[in-house]
This record gives sequence, structure tokens and C-alpha cells, in this order.
Amino acid sequence: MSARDEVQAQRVGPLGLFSLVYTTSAAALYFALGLIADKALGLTPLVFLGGGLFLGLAAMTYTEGALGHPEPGGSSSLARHAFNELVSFAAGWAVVLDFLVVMALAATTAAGYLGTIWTPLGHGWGRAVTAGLVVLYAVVANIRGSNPSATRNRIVIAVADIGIQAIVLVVGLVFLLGHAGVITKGVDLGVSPTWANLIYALTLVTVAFTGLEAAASLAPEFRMDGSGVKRMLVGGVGVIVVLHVGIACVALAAVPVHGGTTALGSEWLNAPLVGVAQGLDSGALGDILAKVVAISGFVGLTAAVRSAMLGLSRLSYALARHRQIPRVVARVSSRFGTPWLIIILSGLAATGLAAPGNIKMLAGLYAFGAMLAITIAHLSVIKLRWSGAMSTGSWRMPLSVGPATRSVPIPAALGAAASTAAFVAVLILHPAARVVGSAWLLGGVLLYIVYRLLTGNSILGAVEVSERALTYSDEAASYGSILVPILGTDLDDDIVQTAGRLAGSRHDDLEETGAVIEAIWFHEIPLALPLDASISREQTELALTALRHAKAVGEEYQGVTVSTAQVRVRKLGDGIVREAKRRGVDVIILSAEEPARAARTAPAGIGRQVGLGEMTRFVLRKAACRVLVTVPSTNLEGTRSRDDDDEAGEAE
Amino acid sequence: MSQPGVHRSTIRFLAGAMVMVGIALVVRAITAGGGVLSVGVLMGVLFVAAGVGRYWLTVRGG
Repeated sequence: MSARDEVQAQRVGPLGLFSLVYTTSAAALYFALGLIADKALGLTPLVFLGGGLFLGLAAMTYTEGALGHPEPGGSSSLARHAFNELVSFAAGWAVVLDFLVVMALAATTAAGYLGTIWTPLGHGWGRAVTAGLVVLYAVVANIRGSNPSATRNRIVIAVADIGIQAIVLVVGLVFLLGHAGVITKGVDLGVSPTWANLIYALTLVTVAFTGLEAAASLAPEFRMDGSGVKRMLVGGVGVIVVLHVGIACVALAAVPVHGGTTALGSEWLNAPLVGVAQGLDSGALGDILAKVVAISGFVGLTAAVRSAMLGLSRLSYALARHRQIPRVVARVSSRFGTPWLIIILSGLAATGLAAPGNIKMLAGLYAFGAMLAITIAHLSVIKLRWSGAMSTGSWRMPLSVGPATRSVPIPAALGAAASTAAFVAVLILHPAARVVGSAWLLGGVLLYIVYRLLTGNSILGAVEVSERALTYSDEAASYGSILVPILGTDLDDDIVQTAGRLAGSRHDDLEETGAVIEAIWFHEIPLALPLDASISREQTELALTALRHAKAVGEEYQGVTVSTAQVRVRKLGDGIVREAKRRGVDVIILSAEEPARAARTAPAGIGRQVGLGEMTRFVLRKAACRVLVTVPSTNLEGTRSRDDDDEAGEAE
Repeated sequence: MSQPGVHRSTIRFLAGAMVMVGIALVVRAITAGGGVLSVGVLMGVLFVAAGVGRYWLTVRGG
């Protein structure tokens, strides 16, 4: 972790994490209420309660998973440990879709709330432009990477917590003291709402769950103990459920169901809480309240776009580290320490999704991704528990069957059954989710397979890229240590001079100094001989002469130190990779093999076009650091170097 | 009393009040002729559940 990352981790505490969940979930009400009330009608509060129970099961699974395997990535990370990289990618890709949809939903309804104050902002092009500006703000804020203070988080959470309960209590008193006809009115289950609409609403209610995935993804970076994470998630779920159920009660009181419909799902679909405010009072007070709600809705939804984008950038970074998406898209800005390209790309995608303004389609799409990711998370924790791969020292959810080392957690099993059923319901009841969601998933898996094959990695096996390799540097020549294999050929001078130029241009903050060049002669020992077999005097003299020459050439550059060594290896390529890792060098500089020979032997794929040989391709594929290859001038005009950092990776 | 203490006490008071209101809603709905699936009964049950749940969370440290 870089110094900047450490500073950011210290600035964002458990309250910041809870704030992320709370902000996203609370803001979800601003767009979810109308969608759910449209289908659940009088049972809207019960649907929110059912969603809360479902959320509670998921929270337990994510908590146990995050504590047992404290890595960023949420369900994707759990699936990696429990199953394989392909399942892990499917979970991560589904959550990427959810984050994009939440951004689009929140941006669209943010425009809808503003539109209740000035109509053009909430309709047609005005809505699309307003939504685009909201996303643009989130892009800029996320690239800059600033975090709210812990004090502000504490105040916001405390005030919101007490405020919500007080509002719910007042609504209860209004019901209690009001006309008896309201509370004796029955709910005609199966007719109003119909069973299909009730199930539809139960899948839509998951739209409030994205904060959980974001929290699970961030938890390892907060250095919290088990009780802290548990309190945050369990407490957070409780507060969110009370919030949702309470507001649903308020909404039904203000905008009741008439004739099997409610205005929350039609007239006020894009700004349901404004409808609630106006329903509570039809006079001037209602107008003022509606404007206050509209502004708070716009602010809250804008914050939700920002939170979702933060979650998406973190997840994408985790996917890139495991070579599930091209790591170039998750490159981290050297200035802000944030993955700027993925933030911009997600902003563009969210703007595109928001443009049509079809929030019913977006909600269905969200349910598709959420159900898939949560199902995979539940199954992952069950598999990890059953196989004994879950850490026994960390927190475990209650109610398990079987011995501690090989048990099945009942809440996770119930959650898996419920989310699988809900996923099937989504496929049956949401035509848009069935088509678009399936296309997204299958397209992503196809791209993943192609990418893995092109980069020479296994489709199911784990691969990890070092964090350093994802950190973008404007100074291509900023290397602290450079490994140069000395081969005893005329090309040695070329690569040492290249290394000298790069090392000599390095400047630290503390002192003006160059880097260290590790000039190494590798003795290839045949398998027929032991590794410590004696080396002929001629070979040793040849190595010493070449290393002395390399030292003289390299140290001609100002401030550069050349250290020399001889290393015994079985295979040259493997030896270079291992020695680079052992010495922790920043970059390896290689001289490509003879072009004619290499061109004959190189298969299709990496290195073919520049005539790289087997050893060079091996190092490019396996090295944990950057690799520069100098191509002989007999093949190209002059000597060129290629920074093939796209192929630098750390294989596990 | 510390700020967290004030927050916790306030939440517990409100949670208790929610339970009371919930019970009252159920009783009034039934006595006024409402059925098991009447709005008042459903609301009352939800209020009791929400109040008990929130109180439990403060006891467990939420």
C-alpha cells in the first residue's frame, strides 16, 4: 500500500463505512418507493420488511466472508476462494452492472426531484442533461478521492437515526388517532396486489442493497476488528429496515391506495417522496415541505451516485488486480491515487443508461445483478465453511449445522434458497432484465475468456497483479532498481546504457540520486548436474569480464551504482524472473534474442511481431515487475525499447 | 451523560414508544372491526417489530 493509500485509510473509519451503506440505502428510498408501491400497494411496508429480512441474511454472509477472507471485492472475492476465477468474475461483473444501474437510477430521479421545482429539469432533454451533470460531479469527486470527515459522518448518522424513528412514531400516532375507517380497511391479498406483483415488488426491493456490497468490498481497508464490522453491518441493517418500513408507512398514509393503484407508482414515480410531502398537506405547508424534500432528494441522490461510483471503482480495481478485466482500465492516478479511467468509463456508461429515463427497466436490471451476486456470495460462504477453508478465528454467523470445522450456516442456506428463487422470479417477471441482464453477463464472460486466453492465463485459475503495477507514473524512467541480465554479447552495452539512462534520470524527494543497476550473469546448469556443480574457469572469467565491463559502462551515468553478481539457474528465463522477485527490482531490461532465430521459433501471440524468443516471452509473461525489451538494430531502424508493462504480472 | 449515551437513551425511548403505539394500533383496529389483514393490524405488527428490533440493536451495540 502506498503512503497515500495509508493516509486515505486512516481518514475513513468505521463511521465512514457505515455512512456509505446508509447514504446509498437511504437514498435508494427516493427512487425505490414509487417502484415498489406501484406493485405492492397496501403491502408496501411488509415488502420492505421482507426485503429487510433478506438483507439481514445477506449481511451475515458478507460479514463472515469479509472477516474470514479480508480482501476487497465482496461477493467476487468470496467466489474466488470458494469456487474459481470464472464464478468470481460473474459475481463481480453482476455487481458492476448493479453499481452502474444505481448510478443511472439515482441520477435520473435526482433530475426528477429537481423537476418538481422547475419542470424542464425533470423531463425530456432537461432530465438527461441534469442526470449527466450529476454523474459528471460524481466522476470529478471520485477522481479527486476526497472523503467526508468522521465527525460529520457521526453527526449525520445520529441525527438521521433519531429523526427517522421520530417521524415513524408520529405517523403511528396519526394512524392511531385518525379516522377508524383507514386502519380497518383490509388488504385483498392476491387481488390488490396480485401475487405476481407482490413477488415482483419483493425482487425490486433489493435495489436498496447495493450499499452492502460496497461495504463488504471496502471493509478490509478499514482495519476494523471483527466486532466493529459486525456492529456496523448488523446495526446498519437494523437502522435501514426501520427507515424503509417507517417511510413506507408514511407514504401509504399520505398517498393511499385507491381502486388498486397509488399515485406513488404513476404521477410521482420519478419523485415519490415529493408526492408524500404534498399528500400530507395540500396547503402552503405541503408546498414548502415538497420543495425541501425535492432539494434533499437531489442532494441525497447525488451523494448516492458518488457512493456507488466509489464502490464500482474499488471493485474494478480488485477485478483488474486479478486479471479479470484488463488492468489498463484500472490504472491508478499518480496524483490522486484513484482509478481515473474506470471512473470516467463508468460515468459514461451510467449517463448512457440514465438517458432514456426508464427507471422501471433499470430497477429490473438491478434486481438481476443483485440476486446473482448475493446468491453466489451465500453459496461461497457455505462452500468455504463446508470445506473448512473459512478462518476459524474470525466471526461466524449463528445457527450452524455440523461440527465447527465442517458446518453449514443455516442463515446462508436460507439466504441462498431465497435469492435463487428471487433470481428465477426476476428472469420470469422482468423481460428487460432477462434480455439485457443475460446479454451483459454472457458478453462479459465471453470478453473475460478472450482476455484470459490472449494474456496466456488460465480461465479458472487465480492470477494477481501487484498493486504497484497498477500505479501509473508520469515518469516512465522513475525506477529505483533495475535488473540487467548480462549475456556476454555485443548487446550487453545497449541494455546497460538503456538502464544507465533510466537510472540516471531518477530523482527522489529526499535526495538527488540515481538508481541501482543489478547486473547479473546467469550460469545455466543442465539438469544432469547438481545446481552447485563446479563451473569451468573459462566460464567464470567470461562472466567476470562481462560484468566488469557492464559496471564500467553503467557507472558512467551520474549517480548510478552498478552491483554485479553471478547466479546459478536451471533455465535462464525462470532464473531472471525469480531473481527479479527476490531482489524486488522495479524493472527488468532484456536484450531480445537474435531476431532471425526468434522469428522462426516464436509462436503466434505475444512477441511475434517483434521477433521475441522463448526466454524473452517467458519473462514478459511471468515477471512481477515491468519489463523493457531492447530490440537489436539489425531488425529495426536503430535501437528501440518497448515498455511492455501490459504483460508484466505476478503469477500465483 | 456522554453523547453516545444520549443517543442510545433517546433511541431506546423512541423504540419503546414505537412498541406501545404498535400495540395500540392493533387493539384499535380489531376493536373497530378490522380483520387480521387490515391496515391497522399490519401497521401495528410492523411498529412492534421495528421497535423491538431497534431496541435489541442498541442492547447488542448497534
